[in-house]
Amino acid sequence: MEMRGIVVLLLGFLGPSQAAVAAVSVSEILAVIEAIEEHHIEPPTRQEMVLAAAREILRTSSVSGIGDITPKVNAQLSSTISQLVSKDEISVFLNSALADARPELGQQHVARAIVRASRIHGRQVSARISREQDDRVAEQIKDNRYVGIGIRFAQFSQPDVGHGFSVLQVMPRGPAYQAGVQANDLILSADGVSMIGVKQQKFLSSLRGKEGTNVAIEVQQSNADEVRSYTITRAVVPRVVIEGWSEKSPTEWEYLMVHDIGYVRPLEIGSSTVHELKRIEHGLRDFKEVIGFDLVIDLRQVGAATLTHTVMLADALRRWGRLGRMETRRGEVIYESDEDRLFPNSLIYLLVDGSVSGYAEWLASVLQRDNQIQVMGTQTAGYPYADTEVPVSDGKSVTMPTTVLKSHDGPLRVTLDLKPGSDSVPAGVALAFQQKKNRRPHGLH
Amino acid sequence: MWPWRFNRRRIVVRTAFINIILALLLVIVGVVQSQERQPVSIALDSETGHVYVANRDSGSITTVNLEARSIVGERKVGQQLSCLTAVPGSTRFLATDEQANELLLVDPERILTRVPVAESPVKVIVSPDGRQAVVASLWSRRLSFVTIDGKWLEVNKVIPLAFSPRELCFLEQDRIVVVADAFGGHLAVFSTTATNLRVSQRIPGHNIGGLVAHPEEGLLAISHQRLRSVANISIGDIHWGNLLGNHLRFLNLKDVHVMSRSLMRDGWLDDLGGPSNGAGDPGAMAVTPSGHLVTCLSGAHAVEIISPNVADSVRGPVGRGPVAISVVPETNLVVAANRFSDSLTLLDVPAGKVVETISLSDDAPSPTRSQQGEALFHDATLSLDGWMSCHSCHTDGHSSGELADTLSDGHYTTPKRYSLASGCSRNRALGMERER
Repeated sequence: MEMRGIVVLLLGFLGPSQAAVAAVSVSEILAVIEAIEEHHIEPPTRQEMVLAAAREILRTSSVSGIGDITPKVNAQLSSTISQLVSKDEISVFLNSALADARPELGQQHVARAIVRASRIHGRQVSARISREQDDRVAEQIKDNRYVGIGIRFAQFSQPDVGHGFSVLQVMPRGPAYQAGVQANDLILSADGVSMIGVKQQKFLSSLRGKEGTNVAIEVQQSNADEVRSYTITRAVVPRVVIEGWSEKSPTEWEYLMVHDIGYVRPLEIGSSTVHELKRIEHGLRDFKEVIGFDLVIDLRQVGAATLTHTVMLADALRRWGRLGRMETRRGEVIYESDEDRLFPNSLIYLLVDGSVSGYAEWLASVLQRDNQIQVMGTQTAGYPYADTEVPVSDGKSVTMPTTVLKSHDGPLRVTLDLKPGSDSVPAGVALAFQQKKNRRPHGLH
Repeated sequence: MWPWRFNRRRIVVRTAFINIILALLLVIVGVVQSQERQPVSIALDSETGHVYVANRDSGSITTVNLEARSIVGERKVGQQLSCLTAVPGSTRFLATDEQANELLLVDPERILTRVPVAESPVKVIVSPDGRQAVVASLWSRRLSFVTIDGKWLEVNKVIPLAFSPRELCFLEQDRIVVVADAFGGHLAVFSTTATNLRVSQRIPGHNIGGLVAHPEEGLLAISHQRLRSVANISIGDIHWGNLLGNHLRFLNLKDVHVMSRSLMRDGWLDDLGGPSNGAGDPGAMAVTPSGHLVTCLSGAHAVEIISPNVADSVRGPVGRGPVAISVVPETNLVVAANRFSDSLTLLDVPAGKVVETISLSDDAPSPTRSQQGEALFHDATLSLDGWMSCHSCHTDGHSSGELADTLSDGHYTTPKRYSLASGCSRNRALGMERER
């Protein structure tokens, strides 16, 4: 059977909003400027942002056509905009500039241009504007508590049948996996309604539903005659946020490596990370009949992270003391750790390299103050900033650096306690550092 | 013309009026008869096999024949009972009356003596030799050391505390007593011989609901909750237990004995419940001869049974609001007192199954609106996954001393942090005045 190229994640949203971008308005541009002024950790001046917006408008306007702006025009723009002080003056200016803007010029383009004007210590920073994912499914994915049957699907078309949907992947922790649904199963019906030839939206709404509710599906392997029926109860399908050393089974990781050392690799630091680590610790307790053993935490693959959950993870792993500081435009917050610590009798090695930045770098910095935790690897990125999604207008948000991450006693600093090749590096830790694996596709999006 | 019709109408009106009066009388009588008892404490008499239940709202003690699974009798002994405990080596019991501020010595037949103790006594424990008792008084923040001499009670020493106490536990026979904070996370360790303070520390957490010693394992188990101020008030942080956790904390008894050493030095913290299976409001605990640790989840209307190897746990169903639990001597059965369903549950611990439910009321109780509100206030099943009740953060309608970012909206604006409820006085918070 021939698969059409469109692969959609049943479990996920359809990626960042792909909706057609509406023509940008003055109020939308001003909303972005105000958000940056209010939240960006080192915002450009208002005039710099207006200039960036004006250049983008001019560059794509129907008058000048898409292309570079001449130095003369650029100088005139700078001169004009530097005279603008009040919000009203800026509004009038932008209104006139937008008169000739192309209809497809959207808030996205202008915001991107404005944010490009933002630099931290001469270093250009990334930022993006996106529609807030405020629907239920997006919220569930963000919280790692997506409710469904736990499959990814693909759309197929067949000359004699028409189009339909087949199972691309069965999520190991999901109810479909427990029921026995397999990859490449064709989904024939849901709750007695044929799924052949239906639109994708209808297919999705048939399979999705509230936690605890049932859906009856009929599936068939493409090369088999047998039709299999399952009644599946929709449940939370958590994605794996911490990987171990090797996969014992599709649903279970082995967290012990050779040399009796534990190994965990966080892929993200989110709402489920601390819980997952507790679960791993609990599972390892029987090992050596004591709680104590050395543990490697590989920070080199950390992707998305949030402030709240990074602080909670640091608190969970460190015993005692001041964790570190985070500075925003509103001031500085100092976080402290309590006396509880996961893996209380373990010596912990944090693996780092140049890819470790932001929250993961802050985590390494604050954890190495614990005398039972050592940092091993190569120098971290030295990027002590964290991004936040700030709402702007019309359900959209702009992501920008809003937080400066600091150690408890000064700027963010990660010192290498152990370097690769050093004789003092335990053999298991050295092996774990060498075995940096490519990040596998995981999760729900 | 048609006089019988007129008379018939009068008869109908009279009959209806009488019926209404009778119905009202029945309702009134019914309310009185079916008043809620709210069992809050239980004590077992190993010789008779009887269970004695202290009822908070009726101020009575109910005697239950466990073997026959029937109620033997009920006797009003005070105004608002808060605790009942057996005096070892005798057929007597000590009870605390929270309203009358008294400690009562009772036997199955009568009240032997009453002595005044510090205001609002909420817990009493008795030493294994039956000669000494310690009483925790909540609002007066006092610990009273009492000598038991036959039929007499004598308060020897009253010690002021820096926090409001509730849970108590003897260690090393009776040489050490551990006192736990009723709201926050304070723990104090007293020597009973010198009646002096040995250790006073604070554990990360609040709502300490139970203390139980496990001498064979060398552990002291503490059930409590923990509110994390850094967490978001979001579905995700509630679901994964980031906002409010229900925990069992295990302290090494060696750490409890050494002054100036951290109580948590060799201890650890375990979660009770988990995502989609919250264990709201963990409270009283008991250890069975088989080594199972049973914890009342008073908000989840269940008990959590942890097997000796601590590898797994099962949830045992009981009545509404289990707040007290006792092991039936020489068995692996436990009796739980269900505060908001006026009943006892007899549970086979290793099997995790209910053996019998014994109602303490002849008919279904008719709780007042205040009592209904109180039950809802303590009901964690109303929350997402059953993680917490109102009581979890607003302990008994008061402050737990913890903070929460209750208007969580990300970290890029000013954190809006409020102390949860106010007041540390006896005044009932949140308008929880009782109808009596």
